Amino acid sequence: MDNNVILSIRDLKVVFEDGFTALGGVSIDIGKNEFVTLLGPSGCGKTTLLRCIGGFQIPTGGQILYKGEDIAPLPPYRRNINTVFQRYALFPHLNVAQNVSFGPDLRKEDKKKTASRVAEMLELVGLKGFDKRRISSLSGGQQQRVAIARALINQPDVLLLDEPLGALDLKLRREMQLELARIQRESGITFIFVTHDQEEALTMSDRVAVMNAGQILQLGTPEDIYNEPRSAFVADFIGASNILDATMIRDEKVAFLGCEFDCVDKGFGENNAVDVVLRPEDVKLKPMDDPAQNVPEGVVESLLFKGVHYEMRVRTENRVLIVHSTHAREIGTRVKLTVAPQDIQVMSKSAESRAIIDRQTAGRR
Amino acid sequence: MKKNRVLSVPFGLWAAIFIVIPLLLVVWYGVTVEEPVAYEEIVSADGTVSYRLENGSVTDEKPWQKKVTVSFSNFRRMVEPTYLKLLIRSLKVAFITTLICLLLGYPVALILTGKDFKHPSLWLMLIILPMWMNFLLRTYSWMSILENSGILNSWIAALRDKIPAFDGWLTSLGVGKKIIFLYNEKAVILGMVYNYLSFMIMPIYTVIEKTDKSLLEAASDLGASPVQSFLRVTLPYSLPGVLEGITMVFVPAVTTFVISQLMGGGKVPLIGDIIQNQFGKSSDWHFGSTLSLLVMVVVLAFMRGLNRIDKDDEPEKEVRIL
Repeated sequence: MDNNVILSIRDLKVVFEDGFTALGGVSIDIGKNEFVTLLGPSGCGKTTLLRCIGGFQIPTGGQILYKGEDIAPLPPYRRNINTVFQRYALFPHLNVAQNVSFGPDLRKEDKKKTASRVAEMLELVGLKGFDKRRISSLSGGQQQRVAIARALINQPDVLLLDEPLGALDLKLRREMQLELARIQRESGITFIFVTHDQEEALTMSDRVAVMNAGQILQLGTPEDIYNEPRSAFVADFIGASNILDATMIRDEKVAFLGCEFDCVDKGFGENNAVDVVLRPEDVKLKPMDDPAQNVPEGVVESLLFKGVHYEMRVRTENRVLIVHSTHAREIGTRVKLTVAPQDIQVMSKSAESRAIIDRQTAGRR
Repeated sequence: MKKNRVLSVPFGLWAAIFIVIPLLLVVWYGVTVEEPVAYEEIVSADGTVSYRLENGSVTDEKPWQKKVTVSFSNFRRMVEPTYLKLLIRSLKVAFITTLICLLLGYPVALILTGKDFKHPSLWLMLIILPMWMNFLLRTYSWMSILENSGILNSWIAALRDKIPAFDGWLTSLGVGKKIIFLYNEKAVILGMVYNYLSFMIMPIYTVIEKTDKSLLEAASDLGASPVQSFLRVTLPYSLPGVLEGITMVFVPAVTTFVISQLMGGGKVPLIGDIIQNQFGKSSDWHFGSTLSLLVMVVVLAFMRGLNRIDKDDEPEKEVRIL
């Protein structure tokens, strides 16, 4: 891994003049050719981190090691890193080709060579023949592609993307997600992608860093982040979830909703308060005549058809759970709830747990 | 649309009464001359004098009436070297003034819009603040600073008394005891620059301020040094502001007469002075109007030229729609 690391961020801090801590000591290693997504709600520090890497924000502490050299104090134009800006920041007084060739022209590169590189880049982003078009005549998605071509032509080692799909409509966004993933594969450039859209993050990334309040809470593959969230915040932010107060009785035994369950988690001590997250699709509804013993029982309170599955709200004694299933059950049906041991994710209590559990509890009554 | 038309009525009336009609009057005065009516003096045998007018009527009183006739003689007079020289001097003074205002004002606007600059609006107000004082008062202040026994001269004299080396140096340069600052072209230009500088700063500041800052970040991101960013992004985007500033300074500078009278002491007459003179002392409204028309044509030609630059730029500076 070490040999493969292109960008190593060490204990990066940004404290603004008004005392607001935007980044409170963030560390992350990013590998060559990796697609890393910084995911979090607005104000979590993800854009600040990206701006530090791009050189638009000078950190107040820590290091940004690029190929082993600290680039934190360097201005943007001295870094071999390019950015696709949130609103694209294309130059409206230049046409498409002139926008794309902005970097090479600055370096006074050979005009002919630049022209063929521009054509190559426009083809890569699917804008062949758009050379002479004016920026204002392009749609949002097309402008997006020009911004990507303008950055990629400089052959950066790292491409930063600041919520580049935020301004696009849903269909176009889906399309661009696939496009971006393809471009990243074909160009072999490290992508650092900022978004607040968890679905986008899961679809596109090799690894996802979930951020909140200036910290990286969890860094891992999309599967890790989804299946094994390490805190209530991550579980709540990524996908739909049921987060419950629980007690870790001993290793591989946890109690919630008034019943004891087998699980696969260890190392949380004995009789300690923990959080448990149950994904809606992992909660199984069984008829009352099912042989399962010592399981919570509930009543189906609502039923929504969601296309691929049904979404049901099931009221147990203490709270309402969200359950996804391809098998609909009538409102008012009494059911048993079961969860497989590997589908129970136990997490330590964190600062946000109380608020999140209270909100989930309140929001579902 | 209809509603808009109704809203434009007050201004339409205003424009008709205070712009169109006076303009037509100026044109009328410009293309006419006023001459005493022609008459013939008849001395009869008994020595009494009577006067026969063109229409044949005879009166005892000497005719005092004047008649207005359409004539372009004032246009011939206008292109006499005396007046053309004044026009050229006015254009020269206005050009130098505009250039100095641009060279001083652009950097100021740039500094004020800098991202690390604290309290730009306070500084902007300090720049505009003198403009809240009466224009004459401001110009008189400069005179009291610059006149022969003025503040500047008395300070220099005091310095010369205190520091013999300074005195010796000035004497070796051939500088007299009293330095004459006022009543020359430089003084007029100083007065104009002082009075018009903020008209240059304001439009440039506004345009740079409005420029999307992310464009500068994008330029920097793509490898542009601060100088390159300025040349390739800030400068092209500020051009409309620069053109507006040039117009706001150049046009009043060409037509002014107060500054040249006060700071130039009548020794540096500009075309504005001559026009003012025609309506004042010389009381030849007709020639004054002709000269006004000349200046108007020059200014219009100038603005058209500027507009053309602006138009060339137009298709490119269109706002992006996201």
